[in-house]
Amino acid sequence: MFDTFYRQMFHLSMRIIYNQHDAEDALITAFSKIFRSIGNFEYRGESSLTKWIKTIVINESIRILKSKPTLSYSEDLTEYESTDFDNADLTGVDIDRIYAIIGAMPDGYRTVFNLFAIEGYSHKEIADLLNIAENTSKSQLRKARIYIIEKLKTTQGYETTK
Amino acid sequence: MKPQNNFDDQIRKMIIDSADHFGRESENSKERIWQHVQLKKEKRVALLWFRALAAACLLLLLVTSILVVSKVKNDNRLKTLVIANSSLEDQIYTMQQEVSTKPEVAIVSKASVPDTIYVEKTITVAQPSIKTEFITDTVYVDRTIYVEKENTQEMIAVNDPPSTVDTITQIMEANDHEKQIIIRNNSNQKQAKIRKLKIKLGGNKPVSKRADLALKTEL
Repeated sequence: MFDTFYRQMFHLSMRIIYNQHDAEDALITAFSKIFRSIGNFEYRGESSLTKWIKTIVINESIRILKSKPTLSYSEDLTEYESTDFDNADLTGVDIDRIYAIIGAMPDGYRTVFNLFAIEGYSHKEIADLLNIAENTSKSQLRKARIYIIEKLKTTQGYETTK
Repeated sequence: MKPQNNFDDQIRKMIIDSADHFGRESENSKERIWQHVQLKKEKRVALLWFRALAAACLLLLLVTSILVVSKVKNDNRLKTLVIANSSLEDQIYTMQQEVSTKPEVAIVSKASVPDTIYVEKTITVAQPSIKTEFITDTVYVDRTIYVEKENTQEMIAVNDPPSTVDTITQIMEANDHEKQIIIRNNSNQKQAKIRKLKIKLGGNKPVSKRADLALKTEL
């Protein structure tokens, strides 16, 4: 089971934490919990097991992220006021550039963007998970999008359809 | 929930397609993560044993402390008893010494002490007792009654003077070898003669059948 889910879970934890050492700690704790409480898991198909493991890894990654002082939900985004991300075209953008931009984002932006845009969590779920208000989650998501687009403007291959 | 934004959808698709982006880091960390998971598992088992051992040690400590406290209490009580016992023995020894060295004083002091002694005695008083006993017994007396013949009887009755008492002794030689004792009640005979022996002189009237006596008299 470890071999099956390890790479996927490492990828997930790295996207949230963006630190290999912290991701390792999160995965050690997460897999220890998974092996300890596998007897309590009710199997309801293959996706249920994946979702259960992903939930544990995300919770552990956020727990480690919360323990760091770098996690803050900044409201300061005066330097990026662009709102043209609805017309963004990312087909020519290199994936490494995307990862680099996401990795360079503030932790609050990155966490909310990952949970909402990549993992499909709702703002209410994110608010409950991060102990923040839903509006904070929404504003953090919007600022994360603006941050990415503003960074992509300087990147080769990025175009806007507008 | 899927992203509702085209921008989010594009980034999501790019990231999912690049699942091996952290492949190198993941391969480097895989063995270490697995070893730590196994170590944590062993630590958890060891922690469970450690907790059980700690609980057992606490229990043992508790029981030992209770035993020690009870032993100390018992020792103190024993020491108190030993001290009291030795004190009593000393007192007894002192008293024995005093008694053995001063017997006269002890006797004088005994004699000078007034005391009241109650002695219980049982006094038996002898009283005469009169006891009357009634004994009922049956005495059987053999009595032989001889009945003489009628002629002889009437002859005796005529010759004998009338008497109201019983004639007891009339010894006759009825036979050569027998003595006869005749007991007769004369009063009854007299009455019978009054009623039955009526003889009238000078008449043809019948005389009593029994009156065959030589002398006829009227009674």
